[in-house]
Formats: sequence, C-alpha cells, structure tokens
Amino acid sequence: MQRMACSFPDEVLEHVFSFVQCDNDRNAISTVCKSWYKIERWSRRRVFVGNCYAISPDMVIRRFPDVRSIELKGKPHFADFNLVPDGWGGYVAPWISAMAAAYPWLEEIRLKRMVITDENLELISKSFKNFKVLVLSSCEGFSTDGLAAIAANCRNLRELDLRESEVEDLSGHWLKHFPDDYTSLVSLNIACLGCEVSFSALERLVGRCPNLRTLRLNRAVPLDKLANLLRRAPQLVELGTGAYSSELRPDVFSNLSGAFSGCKELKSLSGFWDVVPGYLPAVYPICCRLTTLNLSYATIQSPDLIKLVGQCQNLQRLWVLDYIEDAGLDAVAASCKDLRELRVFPSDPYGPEPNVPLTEQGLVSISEGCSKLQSVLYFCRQMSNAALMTIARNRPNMTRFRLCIIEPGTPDYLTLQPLDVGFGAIVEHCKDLQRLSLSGLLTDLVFEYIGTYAKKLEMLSVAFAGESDLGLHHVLSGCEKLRKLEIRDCPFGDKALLANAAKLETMRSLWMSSCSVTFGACKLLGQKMPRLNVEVIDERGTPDSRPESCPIDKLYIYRTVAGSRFDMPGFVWTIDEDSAMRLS
Amino acid sequence: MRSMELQLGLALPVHSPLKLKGFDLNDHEVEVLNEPVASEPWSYSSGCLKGEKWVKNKRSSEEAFGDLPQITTFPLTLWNGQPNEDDDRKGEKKPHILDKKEEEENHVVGWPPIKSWRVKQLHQHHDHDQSGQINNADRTSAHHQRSSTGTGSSNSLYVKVKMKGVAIARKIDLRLYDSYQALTNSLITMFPNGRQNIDNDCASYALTYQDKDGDWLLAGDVPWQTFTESVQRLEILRNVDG
Repeated sequence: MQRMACSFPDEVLEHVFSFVQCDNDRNAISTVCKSWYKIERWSRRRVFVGNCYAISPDMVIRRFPDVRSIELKGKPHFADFNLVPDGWGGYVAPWISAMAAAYPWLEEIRLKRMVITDENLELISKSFKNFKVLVLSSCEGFSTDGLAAIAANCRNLRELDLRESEVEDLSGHWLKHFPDDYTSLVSLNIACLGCEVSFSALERLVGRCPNLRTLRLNRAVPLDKLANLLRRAPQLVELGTGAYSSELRPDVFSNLSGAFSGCKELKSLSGFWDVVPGYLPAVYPICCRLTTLNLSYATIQSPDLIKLVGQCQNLQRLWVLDYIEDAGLDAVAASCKDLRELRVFPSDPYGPEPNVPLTEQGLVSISEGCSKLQSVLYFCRQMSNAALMTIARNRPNMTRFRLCIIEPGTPDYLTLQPLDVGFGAIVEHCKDLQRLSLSGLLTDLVFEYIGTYAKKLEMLSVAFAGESDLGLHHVLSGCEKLRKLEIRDCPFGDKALLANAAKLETMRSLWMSSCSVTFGACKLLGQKMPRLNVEVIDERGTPDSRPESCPIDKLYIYRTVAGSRFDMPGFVWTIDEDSAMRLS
Repeated sequence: MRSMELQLGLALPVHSPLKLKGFDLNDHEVEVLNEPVASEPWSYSSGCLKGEKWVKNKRSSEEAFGDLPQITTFPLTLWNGQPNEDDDRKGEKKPHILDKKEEEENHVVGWPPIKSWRVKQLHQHHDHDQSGQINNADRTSAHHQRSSTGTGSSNSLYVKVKMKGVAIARKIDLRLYDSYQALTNSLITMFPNGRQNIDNDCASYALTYQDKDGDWLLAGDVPWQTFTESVQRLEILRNVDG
C-alpha cells in the first residue's frame, strides 16, 4: 500500500487533489495515509470553521499552513433575534492577528455573526497584499472608518459585501478612499449603510470598474441618480436599488426605463425601499430575465406586485412581503414555473390581527403550481393540518421548510387540533429535508414524527412547542444527521439532555433558552464531556446563588477541541473537568 | 495519530448512527429514561396551550393565549358619536392606548423571529416620528395607529381602513394617492366583498374618516391635502336606503 502511494511524485498528487474542493472529500483524502495527509494539508487553500470557538486559530494554522480563503461563524443563530446578550463573544481579533502573521497570501475572509473592529479591518488591509474578498454577514463592531482603510489599502479588492451588518455611520466619505487607479471591483454591497455615501465618488468608482457585476446600493441613494449609475455599468448582473421613490415625472421615468433596458445581463433585483408604484413599470423590460427578486422591503399592494411578478417567468427566487396576499401567490404559482425558493415576510408582525388576506392558501397554491419549489420561509397567521399535508404531498422535493405562525401556540384553525400531523406529513414526504422550523400548537407527537422520519435533517428550530422531555429525546435520538438544534420556550428539562449527552458531540451546537434545564445538569454535562463547552448564559447573576433545581435562562452547548474560551463576559458560566466553576 | 483523529473528528461526517447505549448521564443522578415522562394535560379552552411555567410571558396570558380573534362588527352609530377606544383590543380590560414602553414589554422577546435589521427597516415605515434615521432602541413594536405627534417629514401616512362585514382591516399608505378618486378606486379593489353589490356607482358606499379631533366625517368635503393632514382612520359604509 505504501509503495503505491509513493509511486506518484508529490506534485502529481497535489495536482490531482486540486480538483477536489469539497471539505468532506478533502478530509477523506487526508485519512488515506501519512503522505496523503501531508500533501493534502499543504495544498488546502480554503477552510470553513462553522463555530469560531470549536478550534483555535493556531490549530488551524498548524494543520493548514497555506490557506488563501477562510470562513468563520461566531454567534448562535438566535442572536439574529436578540436572544444572545451583547458582549457574548464571537470576536474575530485573535484570528486576524494569527493569520496576519501566518498567511501573508490570504485572499478571502468571510465572517458571519462576528464582532470585527476598525482596528481589525485596518490590520486586514495592511497584512494581506493580495486581499480580494471581504464578506461581513450580520457582523458588528466597526464603523465607516474601517471601511475607509479597506478601500485605501486593498489594491486587489474584488468583493466588499456588508450584508445586514451593523455599521456605525461616521461619514459617507469612506468611499473616496478607493484610489483613482483602482479598477478591480466586482461586487459591492452597501445596502445596510444608513448614511449617504459620496455619490460622485460612487459614480466614478462604478464608471471605472469594468468587471463590476454586483451593486447593492443603500436606501440613501435617490431614484433619480440610479439611471446614471446603470448607464455606467450596463454589464451589471445583480442590482440593489436605493429608495425607489420620487415625484412622478415622465422624463425621470423614461430615463430610468431606458437605463434598465440597457442592462442586458441583469438577473437579480433587490432594494425597492419606499416604492412609488408608478415607477415600477421602469423595470418591466428586464423582468423576463430575472431569476432573483427581493421585494421584501417594498410596501406595495397586491395588484402592483402581481403585475410585476407576472412578467417574471424565469424567476427562481422570490422574497416578498405578505402584501402579496393569497391572490398574488396564486399569480406567482401560475407565472413562475421555475420557482425554487419563496420567502414571505410579515408587514405587521406585532399587530394583534391580520392586516392582509394572506393565509395558508397562498402557500398551498405555490406548492401546487411550482414543481421545483425547494425552499420556503413563510410567515402567516393561520394554518391547518390539511394544508400542510397537501403541501407535503405536492412537494416531496422540499429541502428547507420554515413556517412561522405568528401567534405562539396557534392550533389548526379548522379543527383546533395541534399541528403535529401536518408537520409529520412534511417530514415523512420530504425525505431530503435538511432544515425545518416549527410553529403553532405542537405536542410531543410532532417530535416523534421528526425523530422517525427526518433522517437527513441538519438544522431544527423549535419554539413554544412540546410537552415533556420525551419530545427532545425523540429528536436527539432519531435525527442522525442533526448538526444544529435551537430551542426556545419549550418544557424540555434535564432528562433528555443527559440521556443523549454523547449525541451532542456529533453536532455543531445546541441552544436552549427559557426551557427547564437546571444548573445541576449543566454542571454534570460540563464535567463528564470534556469535548463540549457547556455555556450557561444568565444575566440574573451567578447560577450558584439559586437552587440547583432552578432552571437556567439560556444554554449554549457546542463541541470543541479548543477547550473553554478565554473571552467570556460576566454573564456566561462554564464548567470544565476539574468541576470548578469557571468565569473568564 | 490520536491528535489528528481528534482534529479530524470535527470535520468528518458521522455516517453511522450512535451506538453508545450505555452512555446515559441520567445514570449518574436521575432515573434512566425508559418510559415516557408523564405529560401534563393541556386544555383546549382557549384553543391554545395554556401557559405553563416554561412560558416566559413577557406579555400577559390574555394576550398570548386569549380568545381566538373575534370578528368585530363596527356599529354604524359610532361614526356619529364618540371617538372609539383602540379598536384592536375590543372588549379587553386593558387601558386603550398603550404607550410605547408598555407595548414593548408586552411583546415576547425575539418573536416573531425576524432579523433585527429587517425589524429596523419595518420601523422606518411604520414610525412617523422618525425622519429616516435608524433608531437602535426601537426594536420590537410598531405603532398600530397613526402617531398623534407625527408631523414633519415622514415617508408614509399609514391609516387603517375598515369595512363593515369584512373581517380583515387594511392598512394603506395615503402618500401613494393624490386625490379622493385615486383613493376610492384603490379601495374598491381592496375590498372585494363590496364589489359584488356595486354597479360602478360609488354612491352606494360612503367613505368616512375620523379626523384628529376624533370626529367622524364624510370624506370629500375638504381639499385632499387638508384631508391627509387630518385623517386618523377610514371606514367604508354601505348606504342603507329606505
């Protein structure tokens, strides 16, 4: 066996390995023999770390000495909904310092839910001479000053994408820091910025970058400036408009319409804040080419939405507000036969009553009309088991199903029964389901269905559901591929958690908040499972000051080879092997 | 090799189901789980699961698990007389207009699960006090009625529109219209129940509005601009002939 492995020179093996990009395959290659392990680790260029605390920067660098692209994720998903207190963690600083020394040729950094400061950004801009891609998804901790450093120093920058990050807007002048001879921009997403960027700088930048294919503007860019930008970049493939409102004037309209018509490659549209319906027809000429349409900030009514979407026969992804109504979704089901992904967001989520006629019927129509539908995120106020069963039978090819019935604990509105059977049908029919979010009135039965049928499920989100530990036990013992489990406000306690402790090492993470887990159980888990970090997050003060049987507030458990982290704030407690309670 | 296994253990997918039958931490302290834990009976009385201790009711149980929404019929006589209580909460014991802080406390944190960034964008539509600035403190609630202090440059004028016999009230942005005709045309499309009886003669219906003094008036008497500055909400009434 050894003789065979050495019969090819290293360079040949390395060349062969370069065709294998998928992490799982590369990991498999590295276990064949020592020499393959060695060659593979020197040639791995791309690393994905799903939980930045699962491993330390030094361990990654030691194993993979020549990485060009890194992706890191920090806070748990429920941080998106303000369930993780500020200061919990997810700091990228130690990673940047370590990589600045070890990876001078690093080209790409992609971060999700991490804290990055202006100092970190400046260090990035000065340490990596060939830096090309910076994607900051739902990040925070930096200001436009940090962006100025990136603009000024990264001569080879291709992509700057700030998706939904919280940026402190100090000034719009940061854009001027791109040098006049800088022309390599391919993708710019500044949609999350609140302030006005210097428009003349933006125009010049867009005009001198011939490879620009993605441009997502922020709300502050007015509509009457959009035409100029489009004319400077007719090669655009993805566009996010700024505010889509202006006084209705025929000259502005025809200018805009002409500019859109000139964009023959445009496939994706987003933005559309403050839409004035009179300007929508300006995009009609390009609708037939669109594959992605994000209208989730567009507060326009159903008739206008129908007119627009009805022309998008090639649409694959649609994000929209519930203003579309059931009638609008009927129209989508009739026109958009290639639809793969639908997201319907609530226009008035905190209102006590429905404000638009959008019900389960809209989703049923889509499931009937769109045979390629794979991914659904749907907010509504009523649901029935019958509808869910119909959807499941119509679309067994579904891979992501996230349903949010706005009022917690809402039963089937026709029968007043729990929605167990409906969701059961979803997991039974959709055999490739990878992601599922539950809502409505649910008993332990739905978890029995999930544990029995959802064999490919990787991520499950649960809220206000279940009756006892049996529910949690079904999921932990039955879902073989489960990687992420997040639970809030469910009556799950210690029993199921302790009975399935070993399962937790096969998952990336488990989040439980407002459940019935006791501090005693957490201590036990922390002591017995050295490869898990068991973090108790409680802003009420030390859990030791309350009886051990008192439920803790929030629990975040994740597997790690890096041991306890050193940057925990005062409200996070963790217990390790020496059974001493550790603070940071 | 062991340390490598440890490192690799993170990356390799687990293909075989766990066979660690003996590894049940419940043995250490608690009984082994070999029968279903007794589930507490839950009541249907409100159609929803009654709050157990695990429900962190940041709002009162009336709100979270109250009666199923009633279809409220809007009495005709009301437009003659007193200003209404807050419609949204018809029949409840709560004081009618909740101030912002109370409203926030009554909402469950982080529910519905909408990204904070998206909530901020929503806020800029609903909250008339803002003038385009992102307000970080304001995360949970949106005004259901037009703010009485809302003046100055606001991007939208959302008012509620109700029609007797139609369960769902609508919310429209008056900024999108420039005349009474445009408004009524739009309303006709929005309330399909009305269309059954209409014979393109709008005289069968009356559009009324509540002005900022709380009085209910017939729409159309004052100039459009004056109307939009004063209107709080709208209601469509069918003229009862004879």
